[in-house]
Amino acid sequence: MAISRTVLAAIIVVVVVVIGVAAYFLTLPTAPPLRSVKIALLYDPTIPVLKAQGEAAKVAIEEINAGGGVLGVKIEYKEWNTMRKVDVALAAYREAVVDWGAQYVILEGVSEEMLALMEEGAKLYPKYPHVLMYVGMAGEVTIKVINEYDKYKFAFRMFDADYDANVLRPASIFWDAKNVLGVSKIAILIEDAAWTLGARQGLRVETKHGVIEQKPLRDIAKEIGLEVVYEAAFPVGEKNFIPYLETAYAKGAEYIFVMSSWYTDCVTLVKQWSASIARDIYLEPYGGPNHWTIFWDLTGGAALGMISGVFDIEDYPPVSPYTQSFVKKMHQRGLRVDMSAHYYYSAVYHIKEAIEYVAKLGKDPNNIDEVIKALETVPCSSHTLLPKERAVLGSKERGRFHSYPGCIPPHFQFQGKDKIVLVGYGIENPYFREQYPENFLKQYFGALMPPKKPAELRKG
Amino acid sequence: MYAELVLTLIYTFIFGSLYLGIALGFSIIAGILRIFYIAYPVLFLIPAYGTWMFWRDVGLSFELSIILSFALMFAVSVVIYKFVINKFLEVEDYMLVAFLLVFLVVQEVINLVYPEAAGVYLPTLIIPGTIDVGPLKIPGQFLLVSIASMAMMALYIALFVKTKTGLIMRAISQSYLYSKVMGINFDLMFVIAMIIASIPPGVVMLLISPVWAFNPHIGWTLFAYGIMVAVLGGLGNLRGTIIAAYVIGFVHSVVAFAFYQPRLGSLICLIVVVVILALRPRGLARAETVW
Repeated sequence: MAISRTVLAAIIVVVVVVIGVAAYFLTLPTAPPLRSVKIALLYDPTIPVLKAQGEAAKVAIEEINAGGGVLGVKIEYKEWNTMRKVDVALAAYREAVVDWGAQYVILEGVSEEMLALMEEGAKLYPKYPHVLMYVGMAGEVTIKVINEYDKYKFAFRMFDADYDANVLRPASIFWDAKNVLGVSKIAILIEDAAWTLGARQGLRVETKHGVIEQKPLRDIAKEIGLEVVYEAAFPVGEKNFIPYLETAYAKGAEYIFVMSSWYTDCVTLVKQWSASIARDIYLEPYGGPNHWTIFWDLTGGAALGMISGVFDIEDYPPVSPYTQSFVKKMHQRGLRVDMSAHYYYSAVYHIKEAIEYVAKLGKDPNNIDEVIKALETVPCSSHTLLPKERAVLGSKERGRFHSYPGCIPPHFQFQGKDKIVLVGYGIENPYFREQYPENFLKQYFGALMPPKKPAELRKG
Repeated sequence: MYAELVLTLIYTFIFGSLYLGIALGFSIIAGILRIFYIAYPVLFLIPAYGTWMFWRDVGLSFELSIILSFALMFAVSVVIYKFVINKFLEVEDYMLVAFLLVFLVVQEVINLVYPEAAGVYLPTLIIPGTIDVGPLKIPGQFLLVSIASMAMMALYIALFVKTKTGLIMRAISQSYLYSKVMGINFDLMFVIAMIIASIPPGVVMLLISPVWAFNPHIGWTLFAYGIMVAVLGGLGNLRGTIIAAYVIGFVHSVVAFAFYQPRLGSLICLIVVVVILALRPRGLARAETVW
């Protein structure tokens, strides 16, 4: 039986394709097996908020191990109490990397600890390759990595880059103040600490990746169209906010933004706000226990009317499938969740995804150099606060290298006990709207509720 | 300018009275027992966290919980007297270390049982919001604490000046040795002094907590204010304590409301204290007697 030319050609094509595909799979490099994943957790478990961060990492490790581990290997972890002291942290770091053989070290601490660990890590790395991760503010960490990459490539700041934390996020807050709360005159109170230098004075740093510029908060507010009627710095640990609040009122402020961290006594601030002449002025602290839903109880309800990012809500917009389950698991352990706890949890997942990516390419997942490259390349799809598009560590724009482009959290208002309502998406600001995926709002966030003036809420 | 002046005066009264209330118990102990009572911060913590414990954990009424927490504080004061002061009165360095340990143990136990995340809060807000004082609106609860502090001060002055017990305490504070010769029951007088001195910090803590920091570490912060006032006034002298409290209150208010520099308030207060102590090393009032 004669075979037509067309059929013959088809057979040849099929045979070539089959042989080609088979050859592809047969020649595909096979990754060597992963030997171990050892994560060292360096933090201070005696302070409740820091304990929560260490526990957050453990929740992620337990989940991953329960799901079969990383490439079938269970994560091992050990904890060290750094007491938030540089010398103790250094000793713990050496012990973790040299004696125990940790390949991944996650540090919670002050920036001085991280900077000291980076120096020590640079000496250790050639003999003991590992990744050092830090969840916290300190632009210097990132700048060191940018300017001396070969020396410090093992260091990552698993937090928002300074530009995002100190410019984009306040810009979102100011934008919502103007457009959601409808205010035009604002007061800015700034914690007088090293991390707020840019917020107070502005910064301009030249790096190998270009210039990083940060405007002071007053200029950002002016660009949004707000009039800054009062600006003051207050000392870390301040207990008497009455003079600041009185002055903000006297200057005609309609909204008070407080650039605070955990070192600011936000509980006292809010209690005194609610008892002061300024209590009808909107108040929005930045960082601190105001990130917790229990802030209502801590202040005895004085938080009524206060605006804040709140990361402790069990039905927080599900940025990833892990967001809500993580918060619930932490609550089940009697722990509270602030922004950093989310980042600690997510850091463990980012490690997992990077290792798996290396193996997928057929490379050695035990090779830390390869994992570092993967961390720079692979977005974390499990991040609980950052959409995948922003959960990247390799961006070279605006000093974001080895840190995240940042979270722009939605704004909530405490409108009653167990009534914390979403009043602003936080990302509507055209300043950075284009940086979020097109359907981000519809996908993750619920409908907005109208904000209410504190006086209106008090009337019930 | 008028508004700044009125604000300065009113807040001199408020801040000054608050500092007075904080320092009062410490000055009494320093004046009568002649000791530097580093365990003083527990007197802020026990009534506050004791109230919470009896109220929320034991399930008693709030009012009864307050009473029991003060009873607990009196008991702790007596225990400290019996087992620390009585034992180490002649060995001051041992006594100071023991005080410090007592304070740290109490603080850490509280921090363990009621960490900040536990959301401890006492509903002792009696005057919510502000009240009108002339053209100004003043935080009502602050004003209440100020008045309570002044009232306690007045009561203690009356006690020391008008009663026989007060006379004995003044005698002890003037001369421990001669009082002993006169046959005074020291144990009883010291225990009474410890108990009456523990009341002001407890009252201040309960009343100030709705508008001030309230956490397991607040005792030491308040104690720092107390030391500053007591030392400036002349350790152990209530007249000096009153003057010093209002001097510091005035400096804070002037810096905050007349010069709009609240950031510098604490620093300038410390500079004022240093300058005054350089000129008058024993404080504003000579510390020979409690009153």
